Amino acid sequence: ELSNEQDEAVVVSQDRLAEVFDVGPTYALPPVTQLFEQVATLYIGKVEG
Amino acid sequence: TNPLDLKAQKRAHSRSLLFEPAVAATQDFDSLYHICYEGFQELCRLDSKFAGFADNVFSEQSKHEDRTQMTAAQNERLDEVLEEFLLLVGGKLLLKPALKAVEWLVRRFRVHQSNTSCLLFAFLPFHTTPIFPTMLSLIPGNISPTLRFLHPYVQSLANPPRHAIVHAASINRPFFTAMSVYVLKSCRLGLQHPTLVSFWASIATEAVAAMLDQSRSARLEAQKQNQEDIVRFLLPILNDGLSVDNVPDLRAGCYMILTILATKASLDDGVLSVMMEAITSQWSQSSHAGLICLGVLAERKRAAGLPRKAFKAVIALERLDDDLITLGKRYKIDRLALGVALGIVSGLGKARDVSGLRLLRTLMEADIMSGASKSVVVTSVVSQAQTTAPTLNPRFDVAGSLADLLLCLGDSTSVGPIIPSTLEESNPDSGPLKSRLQRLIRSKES
Repeated sequence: ELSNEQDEAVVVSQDRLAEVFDVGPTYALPPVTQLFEQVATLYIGKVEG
Repeated sequence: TNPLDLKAQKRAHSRSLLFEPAVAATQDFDSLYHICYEGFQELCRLDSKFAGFADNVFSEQSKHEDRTQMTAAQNERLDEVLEEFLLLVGGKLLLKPALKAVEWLVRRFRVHQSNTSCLLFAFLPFHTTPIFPTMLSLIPGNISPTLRFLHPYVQSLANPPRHAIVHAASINRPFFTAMSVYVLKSCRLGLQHPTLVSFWASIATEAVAAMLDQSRSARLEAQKQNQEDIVRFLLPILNDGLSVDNVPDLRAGCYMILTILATKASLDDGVLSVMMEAITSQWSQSSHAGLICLGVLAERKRAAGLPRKAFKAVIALERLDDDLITLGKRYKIDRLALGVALGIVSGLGKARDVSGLRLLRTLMEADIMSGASKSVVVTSVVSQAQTTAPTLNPRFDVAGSLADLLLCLGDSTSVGPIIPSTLEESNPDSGPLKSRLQRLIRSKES
């Protein structure tokens, strides 16, 4: 079973999510696979260092 | 347009993507065709898929085709062809030849009146460009409720900002659905372009995040209901998306939405399992994106372990060990690795399949799982070793293989320290296992 600590939803603000997509005009967005990896990093990424 | 109302006819004929109304009003279909066909030929040189439209909407005969003179069935067939053309041309709408070709669809076949949604969805990824308000200037005033959010921009001929589209997708479900259906259709027909899929995936992801944020403003009970409602709304769309072959970007878009759903909503294990099975049921090739998404879902599951079908799909991946180690450096995939490890141990008892033991050892020794998860695996290994009936055939000697594994792990620097204490807790009571593991048990006692 998950501990209580793990059960907490990871809080990522709408702004941080929007930052991933706010990279110039919509028609110049990077490939989705790349966007997905950035989104996944927000939620389950390991802190570097 | 009433065929007897000549003024209205002239007005309708002057609606153009390329020309001022006064100029457009004077153009006949012969001269227009000449201009538009040039654009079409250029498109054919860029992409051979366009050639298929040379015999229908861009044929010589098309100059004389008038929708008002066609039967309902003919109009329906024409709509299909026009919509396929719009799907295909969507990726090239920033190029002049594409606009010349679309001009033919506007002037000759009135796509802005008869195929409004399709035309809008084709242009929507380019909502910040100057051509977008020009396209809006063609749209009839009675815009459908699905696209109602564009009404103010149609009136002012302005560019809708990105956040307006995200907001509309978060509160207007028919719009979210219609946009998704348009994108899925393009992918299913193999007519998709990267801009469209990126646009959809990014808007849909942000919109789902906003939907879930809005659901939190309610009381706890209502919150749960709202979240269930959102999941029920999205799952069919995601299932459809995941069932499309050979469009990795579309899959990644579905993974992005699933990530938001799983992390922002409180989903029960049953729903998470359904999602895991949906991800793995039709993945045709190993992809890091699929494993990352499974990792996200596994982190949210309360009970350890992967659903059986998902486990079978994961374990069948050719380079699973390398993939998990690579991903483990960047992402927290502790629970995914634990699920794989427990699946291997469980398979030992049922199928006496010892082929996964090498992977199990790799997973245990790599820096992917937490100490707590490694302990769970060791406990499970001991329990499996004690409950699997002995056999004389050394190839299927599960207990012996597991004891060997524990001995190896006992010597490893990353797992070794946790083995004695875990062994003590799981208490291998008697028999051959205890005697084979004496060395490890003694090391705890000494």
